[in-house]
Amino acid sequence: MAVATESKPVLELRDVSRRFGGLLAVNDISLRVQEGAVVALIGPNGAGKSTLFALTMGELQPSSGRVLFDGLDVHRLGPHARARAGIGRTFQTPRLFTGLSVGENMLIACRAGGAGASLGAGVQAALAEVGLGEQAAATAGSLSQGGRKRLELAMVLALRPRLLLLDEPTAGMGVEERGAIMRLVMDAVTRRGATMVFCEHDVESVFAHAARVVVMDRGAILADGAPERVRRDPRVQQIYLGEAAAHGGEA
Amino acid sequence: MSGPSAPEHRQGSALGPAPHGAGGRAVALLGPPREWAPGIVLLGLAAALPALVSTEYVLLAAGVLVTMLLGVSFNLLFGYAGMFSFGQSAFYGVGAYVAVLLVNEAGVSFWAALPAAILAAALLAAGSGALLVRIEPIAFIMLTFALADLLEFTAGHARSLTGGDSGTIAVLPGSLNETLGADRVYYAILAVAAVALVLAFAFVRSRAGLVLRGIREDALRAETLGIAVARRRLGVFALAGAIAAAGGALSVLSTQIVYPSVFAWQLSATALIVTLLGGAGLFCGPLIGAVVLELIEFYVGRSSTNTLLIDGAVLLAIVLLAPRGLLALGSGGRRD
Repeated sequence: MAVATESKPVLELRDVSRRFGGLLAVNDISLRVQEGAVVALIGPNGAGKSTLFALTMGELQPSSGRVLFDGLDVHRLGPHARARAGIGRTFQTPRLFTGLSVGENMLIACRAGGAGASLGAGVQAALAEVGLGEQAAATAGSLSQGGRKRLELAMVLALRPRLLLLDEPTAGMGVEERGAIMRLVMDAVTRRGATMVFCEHDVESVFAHAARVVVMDRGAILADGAPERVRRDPRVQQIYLGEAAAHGGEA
Repeated sequence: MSGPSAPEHRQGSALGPAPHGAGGRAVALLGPPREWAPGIVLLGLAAALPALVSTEYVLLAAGVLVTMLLGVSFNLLFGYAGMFSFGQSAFYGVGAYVAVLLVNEAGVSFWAALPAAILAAALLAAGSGALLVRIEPIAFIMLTFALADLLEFTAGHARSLTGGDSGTIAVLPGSLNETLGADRVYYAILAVAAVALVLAFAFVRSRAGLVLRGIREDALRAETLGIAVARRRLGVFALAGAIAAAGGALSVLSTQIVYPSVFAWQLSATALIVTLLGGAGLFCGPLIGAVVLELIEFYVGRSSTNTLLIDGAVLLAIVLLAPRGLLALGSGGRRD
């Protein structure tokens, strides 16, 4: 694969394993993500996708192996330092400051992202971008699941990350909302030349937006390559995609 | 990645400009009037008090002000940052002892001893906090408690310096002696307390205060947004220590004597009770709570000397009748 060997990788995992007691959640994974790439990370529940994100963000330390961001080993850096270095992430279940207002959530993110002048306008614009412009005064905890996802996304985008890790960005959304959110994400990513890795169960989003698909199963990488090739891989069809792939293939 | 960025420094400084627009209203830093109006009213009342009531009540009010500082100190940690300190008496006691010892042993004036006492407590908080802000919440409760306990033991046993359990009488000039001038003592306490409270209010309304509330809501989210959570917690722990120490040092003016019991857990419990009574996470919560608790103790204390019994009854009443505090009763209870 040309994408896996040429320009310099933004993110590189070298022989990374993570053990929780007797469970090997991530088993000796090596992965290089090139600058500007859009990579989908798919696999059944419990495949280790979220653990991989946590290892990249620094919430978890690998039991063995190394995580490199921009060619530098980041094992000494905590999540906040990695965030400042340019890694931003969302969570499968959105993490928000639920007791604060939507506007306050956004304000904290904008400050953390270094937004200085016209902060109020910046907050309002960022909220409007994800369709929450009218809900600035609402408590974040009162938002719907989709609303929470969109707020969290807006907050992470406000950090202007160079590497964006999105954990199921469209979960809990309707078809139209999914399309709108993915367009928003792709627009932000391409405009800034950012790199994105996203976990997703929605097969349509995966094959519509990812230039590369990495399939995980039981903590290991099962397949890695262009979407079409991965889609035809019989092991992938068998283990994960199943009928959804057959359906997509027909389309 | 190379150290804190410029915005990080600005964040801790001062009240930002009020943003505009609908979102601006939502994030306006001054907050709704119900937040600060009671403070203005209380301050006006406090200033007029010596002209209105007898000396007995002026001294009661001085005690209320000291309790307010203790409560605000706890509320900064618990209500705003989500850090349950059960050892704010440690810093209160350091404030009291450092002030008295500097006045008695080093012969400095009380007004020079006061900032030194505050600084000493802030340094103790910063030093102990380097460990404390990184541990689990339950361990944080236990170790803050242990710190105060350790200091109480030390003060009780360092007899040559502190007089041990017999206490140390503060050798204060006549101008600050409460039997000679209760009003002067009261105004001295009021002036310092007012400054401390306004600074604390400015802090919770600043962007740094907002970030702390975010940390209280979800520390991992804050951390993954690039906020150095441990450093923010350390900062507020030191600030809260300084405010408690101001209360402790001022208490010397109204008690004129310091015992090792200034470190006792009952004082930390008082901080907790006045905060819960008024409303945790609301700036005026511990202010209202201090007034109510001190009044109850004052009146009930005339017939019963057991303040622990009173505190217990008040705590029970809060839990049963106003679990989010008195201020939340009329407002639906949303905190900052």
